[in-house]
Amino acid sequence: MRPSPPGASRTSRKTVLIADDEPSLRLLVTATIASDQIMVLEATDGDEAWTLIERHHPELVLLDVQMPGQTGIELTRRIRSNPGLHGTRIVILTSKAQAADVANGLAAGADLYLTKPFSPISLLSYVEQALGV
Amino acid sequence: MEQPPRTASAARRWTDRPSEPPRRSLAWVERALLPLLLTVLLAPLLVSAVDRPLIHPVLDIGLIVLTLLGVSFLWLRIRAGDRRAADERQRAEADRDRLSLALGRERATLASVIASMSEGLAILDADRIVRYANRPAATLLGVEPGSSMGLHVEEVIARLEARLASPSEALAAWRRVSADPDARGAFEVQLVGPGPGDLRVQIFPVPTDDDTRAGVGLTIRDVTHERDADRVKDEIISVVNHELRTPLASVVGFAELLLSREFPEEQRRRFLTSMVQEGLRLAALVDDLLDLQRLAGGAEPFTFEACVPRALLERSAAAAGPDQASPIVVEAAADLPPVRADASRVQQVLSNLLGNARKYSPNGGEIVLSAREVDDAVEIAVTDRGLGIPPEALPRLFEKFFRVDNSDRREIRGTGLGLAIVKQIVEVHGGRVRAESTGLGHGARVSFTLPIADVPSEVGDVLIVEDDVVFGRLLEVELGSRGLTARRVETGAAALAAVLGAPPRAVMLDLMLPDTTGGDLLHELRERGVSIEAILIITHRDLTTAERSELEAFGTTGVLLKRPGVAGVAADAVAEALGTSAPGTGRGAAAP
Repeated sequence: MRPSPPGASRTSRKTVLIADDEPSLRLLVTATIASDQIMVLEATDGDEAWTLIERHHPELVLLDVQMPGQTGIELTRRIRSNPGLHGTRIVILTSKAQAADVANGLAAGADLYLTKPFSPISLLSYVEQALGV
Repeated sequence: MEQPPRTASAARRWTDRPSEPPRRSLAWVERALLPLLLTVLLAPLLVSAVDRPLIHPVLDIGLIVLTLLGVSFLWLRIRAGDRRAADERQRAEADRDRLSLALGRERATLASVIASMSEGLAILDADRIVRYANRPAATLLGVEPGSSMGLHVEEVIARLEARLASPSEALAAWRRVSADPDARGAFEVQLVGPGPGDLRVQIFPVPTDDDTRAGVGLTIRDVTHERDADRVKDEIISVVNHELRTPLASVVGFAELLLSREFPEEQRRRFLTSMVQEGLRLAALVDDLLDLQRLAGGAEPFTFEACVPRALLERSAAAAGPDQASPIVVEAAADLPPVRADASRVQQVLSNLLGNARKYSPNGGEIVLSAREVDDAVEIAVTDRGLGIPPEALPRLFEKFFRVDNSDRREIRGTGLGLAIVKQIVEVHGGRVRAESTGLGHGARVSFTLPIADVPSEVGDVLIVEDDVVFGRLLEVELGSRGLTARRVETGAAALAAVLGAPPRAVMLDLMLPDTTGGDLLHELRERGVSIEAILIITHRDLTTAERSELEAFGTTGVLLKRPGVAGVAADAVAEALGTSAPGTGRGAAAP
């Protein structure tokens, strides 16, 4: 678990999780959305992501589909079937761009399906709006 | 559910055609008419002969003879008519026999064709009861031949429940296709367990005696190989898509981020570094993909030559560069037999394997590059003391895009294509690849074999070391016209193998070779104590004084600049040095 930026633990701060096995992609997402109001947690695979989700109950999760351990789709189903995680916003962030993949992701319960390459600025707008910051 | 039997009525029309009028009836008319006619004509004559006294005996005798002649003629006609009729009957019977024999033969042929075709064939009657099924149909479905006979088709599907991946889908597919009035559809079913995995069932209408209801024929084909190939293709497309989009996301994403906001200098540098790295990764991936594609398509011809293994190894170790943490140690006997190899391709293989060895030795450790003779080949191996390979990953290691997945190597980058390229190149050489590891943390050993080369025992007077084929050929011709025999090789490793096999009297050497430089080759020859009467250097560019004196130290006969006409001059120089010349013809002497 790598909270970033470090320090600052105000109660109003929202938590976002990014799960992706690509370091440069985690850096990109963190650099885009981390702020005084949003803390970003990073997970390098699906299993680490689930541990962090259970422990920190992030308001929003950004999930890669193809990563070691559980896939982003599996995580989405798990979150949706867990009453304790009710209200979690789920964004799938993946290179799987076929219509069937998108339908599959939304059917699993994702709120937004973004394909790589994506616009970090658009992602930021969505995250800020979803979290109300 | 029943289909209108279109073809059935067509068949009926054909059999109902009116038959030809029987020819025999004409003969009967003929036979009945003639006696009647003759009786009418002869009767008055006979009556008059009985009634009256003889008018004239000659006339009477004539009449009797005529009558007799008439009767015999009549009798002969009748006999002939009977014979003709009998003949005709016989002929018709023979025709019938021949026809039924041919029909029988044809039916037997057809039956054996149907039984021995690789596709399964089954015929259902109008009630969808199985009336015929050939042996392959039973084999493909994995049932006893004949066991489905007399069963309703849906009963057959029900009995296959354990074999079908999805019995309900199979039943639904059959119902959908057979409900189509055309009865021309097809569907596929997936099987589980041993035997074929995918079957394609094609249906077609079969005419029956009943005009309104047709039967259905089914052909069953094993399409497992086609579907497997499709699945592999889909998998590769999906992986390529992922591998291309991921670095692209970083390049595009960071660029957009940098354009949108100000960042502290340190962060800016981090982003830009990431962009460069990901961009290079994209380029490497494209290179590897194209390389693999060209190798698979055979688009890049290989140039095989006899090469000295040790020379190949030393050059690759040198090309990999020094690394304090993981130094490369070459262990190969100098007298290993030459191998049949494309030196630059083998360099590519070794550069890949040495790169991997270093990459997966994050904590350093010596890397051993070794060669040894095994049976009719030389085995070259790269052994490291790095992370090692888990046993379950070993069989898949040379597959495209396969990467060992575990956390301690997650940060190690690669396209997942390096070993697939290695395998391709080695296999084009006729060798085999192999990976071994005693497990995680115990390092790995990746090896490949190269076949031992046949080295001609006779090299000739002059060895031409030149990778420019056209220029090399020109030199051969010029030498030939001066009475000198020559052989040409393209790489340093091959030159070494040739010289060590049977030393030539003279060497013509290009300074820029695909795998080494002329200087390094001369150095190697001197180290091995090879003595050559004349060494002529041919170079693309002017040499510095230092370079010239270095070459002269190896005892070179002369240095010539590559330009039009130089081949003749070079041949003259070699001939003169060997003292065997036929004086220069002057043909090439115009230039240098």
